[in-house]
Amino acid sequence: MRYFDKETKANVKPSLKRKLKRQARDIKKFPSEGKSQEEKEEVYVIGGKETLRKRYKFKTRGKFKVTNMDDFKDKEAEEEESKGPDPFPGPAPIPIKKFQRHNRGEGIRVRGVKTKLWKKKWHLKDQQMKWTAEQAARTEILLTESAGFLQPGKGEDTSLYNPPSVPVQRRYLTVTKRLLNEMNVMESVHDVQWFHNENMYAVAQKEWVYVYDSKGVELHCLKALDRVLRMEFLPYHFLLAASILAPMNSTDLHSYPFYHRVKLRARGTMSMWTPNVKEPVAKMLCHLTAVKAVAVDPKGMLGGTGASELQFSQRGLLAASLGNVVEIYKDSCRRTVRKPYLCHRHKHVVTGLEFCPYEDVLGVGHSQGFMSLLIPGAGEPNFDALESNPFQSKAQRREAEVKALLEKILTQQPVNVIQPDLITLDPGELGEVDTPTLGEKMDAKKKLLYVKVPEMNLTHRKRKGKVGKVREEVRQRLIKEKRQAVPEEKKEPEETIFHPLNRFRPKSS
Amino acid sequence: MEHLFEEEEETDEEEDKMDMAELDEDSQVNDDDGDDAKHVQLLKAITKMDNFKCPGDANVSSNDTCRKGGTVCTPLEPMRREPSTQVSEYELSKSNASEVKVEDLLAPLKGKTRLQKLLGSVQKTEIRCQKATLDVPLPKPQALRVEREVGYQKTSEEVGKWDDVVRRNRLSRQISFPLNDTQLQLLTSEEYISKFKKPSTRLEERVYTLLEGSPHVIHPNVELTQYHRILKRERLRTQLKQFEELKRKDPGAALEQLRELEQQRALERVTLRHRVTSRRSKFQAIRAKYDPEARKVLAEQLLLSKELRKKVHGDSESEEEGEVEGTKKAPLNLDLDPNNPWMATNSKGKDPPGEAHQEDGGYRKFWLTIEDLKYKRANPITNLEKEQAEKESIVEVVESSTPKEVEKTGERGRFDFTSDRESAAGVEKDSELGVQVSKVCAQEDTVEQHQPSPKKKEHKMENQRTKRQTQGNVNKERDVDDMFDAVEEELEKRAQKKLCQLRLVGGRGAQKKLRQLRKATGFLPEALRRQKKRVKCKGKTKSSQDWLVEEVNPRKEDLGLNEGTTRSCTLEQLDHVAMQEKEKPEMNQRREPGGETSGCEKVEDGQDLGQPREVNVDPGKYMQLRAVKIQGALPNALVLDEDRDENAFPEDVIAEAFEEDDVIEKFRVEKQAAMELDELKDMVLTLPGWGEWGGPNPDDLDFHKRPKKRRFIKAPEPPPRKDRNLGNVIISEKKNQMLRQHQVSEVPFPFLTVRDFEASIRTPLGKTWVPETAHRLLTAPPVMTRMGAVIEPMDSEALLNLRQRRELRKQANPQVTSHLSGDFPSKR
Repeated sequence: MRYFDKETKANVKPSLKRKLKRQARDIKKFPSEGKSQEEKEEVYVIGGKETLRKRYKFKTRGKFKVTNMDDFKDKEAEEEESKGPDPFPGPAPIPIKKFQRHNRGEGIRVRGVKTKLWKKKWHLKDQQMKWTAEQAARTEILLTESAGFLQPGKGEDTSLYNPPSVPVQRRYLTVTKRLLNEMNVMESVHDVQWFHNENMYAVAQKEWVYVYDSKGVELHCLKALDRVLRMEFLPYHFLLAASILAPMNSTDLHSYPFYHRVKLRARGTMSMWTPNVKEPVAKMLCHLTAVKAVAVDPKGMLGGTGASELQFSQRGLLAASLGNVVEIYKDSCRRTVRKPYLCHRHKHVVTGLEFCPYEDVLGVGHSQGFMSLLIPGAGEPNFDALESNPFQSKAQRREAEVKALLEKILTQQPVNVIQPDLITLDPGELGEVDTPTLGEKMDAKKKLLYVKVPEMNLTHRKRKGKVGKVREEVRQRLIKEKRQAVPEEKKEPEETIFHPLNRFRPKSS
Repeated sequence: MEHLFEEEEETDEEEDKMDMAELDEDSQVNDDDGDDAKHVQLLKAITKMDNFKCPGDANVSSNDTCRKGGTVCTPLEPMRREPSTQVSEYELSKSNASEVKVEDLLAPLKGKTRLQKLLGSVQKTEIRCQKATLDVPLPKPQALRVEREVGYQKTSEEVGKWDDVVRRNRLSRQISFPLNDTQLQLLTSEEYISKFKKPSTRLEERVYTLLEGSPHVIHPNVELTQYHRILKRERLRTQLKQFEELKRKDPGAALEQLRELEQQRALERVTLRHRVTSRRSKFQAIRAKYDPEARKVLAEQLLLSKELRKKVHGDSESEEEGEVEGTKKAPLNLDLDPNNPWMATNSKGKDPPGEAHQEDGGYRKFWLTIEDLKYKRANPITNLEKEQAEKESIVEVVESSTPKEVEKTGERGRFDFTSDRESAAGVEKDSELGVQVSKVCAQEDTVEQHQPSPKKKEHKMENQRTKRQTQGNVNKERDVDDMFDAVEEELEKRAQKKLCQLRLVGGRGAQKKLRQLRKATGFLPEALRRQKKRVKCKGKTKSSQDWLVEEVNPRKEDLGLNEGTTRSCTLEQLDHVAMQEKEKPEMNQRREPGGETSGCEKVEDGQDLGQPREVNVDPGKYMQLRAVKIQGALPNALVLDEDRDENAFPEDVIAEAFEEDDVIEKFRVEKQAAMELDELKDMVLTLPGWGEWGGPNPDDLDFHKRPKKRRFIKAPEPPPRKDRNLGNVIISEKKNQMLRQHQVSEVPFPFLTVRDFEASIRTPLGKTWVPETAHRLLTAPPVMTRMGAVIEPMDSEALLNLRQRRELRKQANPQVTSHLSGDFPSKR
């Protein structure tokens, strides 16, 4: 289960080396042909079922030999043995990067656990958790659909290819391939948002926000939200965030599902809000001019701001509109792009963009109507049917709705108070111990007579990402300070030459 | 103890001696022959017995006394004893008088080897007794303590045996009770039957031999009819399998077999079987009224008869239909999958290609691959033709200058299309592809006619064809050829029309545009290339002028367009087509004078399903787009003022008007303020105004001379900010109070650090976040109990390892084989 490269192996303590050697038996280098040297280095076999079984092998002590693992061998294994050595021994290899994608950071150190039994128990549990990550990496093979983009030939350029468009007449409506309904509300419409399923949607009209069902029947009128400019529905919290028109500087509340942050942008800065903190949790200066569009990719890790409409597709394509031109950029967040992936110019001014989930379709709303463009590689080919199922039946939809509601309720402490307490900038924060409160509790105990409070290390676990950097810097600084402190001490004896009147000096200096 | 020992010894010896003595005495008595003497002897014996019985004299036996010369008591001494409950104490033996020494007792043992051991031990104890005196007994509490200690040691040793078992059970991921339960294994039916393979008893043997030879053996549990049905199905299945194999190995033979099947079918048809005419089927019909099973059978039969009665037409056209239907309905229950490429090839020559493509995707794919191969084979021929092409028209000369490039790009574009990505426009693409294929197919045929290729695969095809011909299919083949010719002509027309359009745009200029287009899009040249080739092939047969004349006629082109290349799937699309037709004359008129084209690429792209006006893109626009897409450049100003609605840009305009230059500086200040706000301030311990009074020299005041420490408490240095290295970003350092309610604020038992506890809760357990297998592993209950099972306490058998246990079982019950009892011994 443990994988390491040559460098880390060298860094290991000599006492641990034996242990690592033992583990190294489970780790076999994967012979990868036709790959670059770097990739070759990376790919290791990570222990599988076999090693897990070995791990549970019970060590006997003294004269009572209790278990013999040979007895647990089932018939099949015996048969396999009789066949001869396996040409591909052990579990199938997993690339280390895949594993790291599913790994959840530092594991349990046995020395942080009391008693021998519990040490052993939690060690086994930890192995299970690592195995879980490994299993998740293995199941990636089940994502059978592969995504692809237009591949330009020699001297060709995809950006010259005009994406085929399928114009559809509409006055205004949420974008679906199948026209659900069509109506005229006789008012200006500022924004339209689907709710958790295709049964309901909210429309920000001139005065209030209205809720309609898929057939266009008005279900509700939200008078609490008046003169709304933009809206965003948070599907996991069942919250509708809306921005309200303010004089001069238009504010726009916007959010996206994974991190559930709410962004506000004005005058070139984009700020992220949560309902729990009264100030923006993060602010960022993006442009010198006003930010007009904000888009966040569906994974919630990347974002973009622009002067006009912006939209990320499921596979990370970024669609941007400039006047009457729609441009689609590929891989724009990881490197500087020189030219767009695809480009489309339309007669009319483009007013809205929206990618169709699980399809290679971009819906474009313009001043005269609506059309959809085919963007190869935009949609996610593999869908999680339990998360969002494009082929959902009625019963499935109902069940999903109930489950979503239950999950939401369970995550909220007082059931009747629906507050999105868990919305944070850093979603992993919930898995951390509230150390300030813990410290206070320990201090309070220490004050009690005859109560022995054990010392406890209150530092947090290192999670994925660059969280450790801050801590590392603190450490470095402490080391620096210590080093600096040493020469100062040396100086002191020089100064303190004995003088009878020295005792009248202030003690503090 | 010693006493007891001695006693036992003595009594044993006494008895022995007594018997001996009696025997001696008897012999003496026989010698004397005196009554008195007898009487005396009797008395003697009686007294002896009395003496022996006397409890006090247990040690002193009569024999001893005899030996010692009657020192103790004379046997003849009269002692009267009445049976009474009271025993006088004076009658008890006098201890001092009759002291017995152990040595004396042991003396006779000395010669006997059997009793040497006993002798030794007795002597030892004697010595010990002489030497030591007993210790003073321990006081009671201490004695108890020792007892306890010893008891503890013993029991802890006893219980310690279980340590490992307990530890294993505590550590094991899951324990299921009852622990020693039999592991039941599911035997497969084969395994089960294998046990009874050989008849064991004589009776069984006889029955076996009887049954083996009998033709009347049927499946015991299955009804006769049902059994036959199953048999039949099985037979069919095996036949199918064989056929599949044959297909792979020897296609010719497979075809032959198919033919045979066809013959069988004809025979069956002639005999009018499967009609409800037989007695059985008539009964079946009656039964069908009430029995759904019978109804099903009847329906099946009727269907079969219907299929059989279907007439297979003799002439070519209707035969095609028949074949198509045949593939659909599958006579004789043969699994003729319409997607089966094999069957497709079988009927390939007879199908009108266009229709077939529309019917199913798998067939088309197969077709594509075949045609692709063919096309590759045909390439050298086209190269040969290239030399001849010089004589032909200007267009061809221009094209043939870069044929390889064209092919390459075309090939790539095509493969892109055929990749399995199903997009919204897939249907259109498919139809387009279908057309292409048909073109290629047609072309291929002509190529064959002109110049058969020498390659191997070609030979195969040829072979197949010849086979077919030998089988008497010559007519059909000709028909197919005719058909291909017809399709070919049609395609030819279309291609010419396309080229004509291009030429109309203007000779070389058009060629340039074409090449540009080719470069710009990977897809376009594919169709064009095909058409060009087509034209080349045709160029030989007809003079170039001929088809030039054809091209110029616009009406013909239109007809060609309407016929084939597009497929309208919905009513809307049909409407579009109608619209197009109406507009066409106008378009043509427009085209002729101006030389401006529109809507020619669209046909080749297969995107012509939408509204014609909106999609029309002229090549000029492509160029314009290139100018537009330079990074950072805005699109050309819109001329469409009427489009510009009021909502479009007002915020931008306002923002620009009020734009400030020092945005960055402002943000920097904001960040600084935020940082200061988050920092902890030093605490001033003095009251406000204290020590701030004036005077001639306020610094001399005592207050200011006091050390700073007493006036301030310095704030601890905060941890470094998250945003300290991020330029124009502010990340709030405030704790989320709402979230803290939901966080854990204690570290539970076995954990010593926060970090390790956090690590222990790092993996979610739900199915939503981890794979199913992992979910099951992580949520498995630690203890399982079977419902209704009695959980008995562990016995000492648990201490043995399994192999030992198994051996123990075997010893106890040798007949139970491991196969039957499973791997684990069962407890009965």
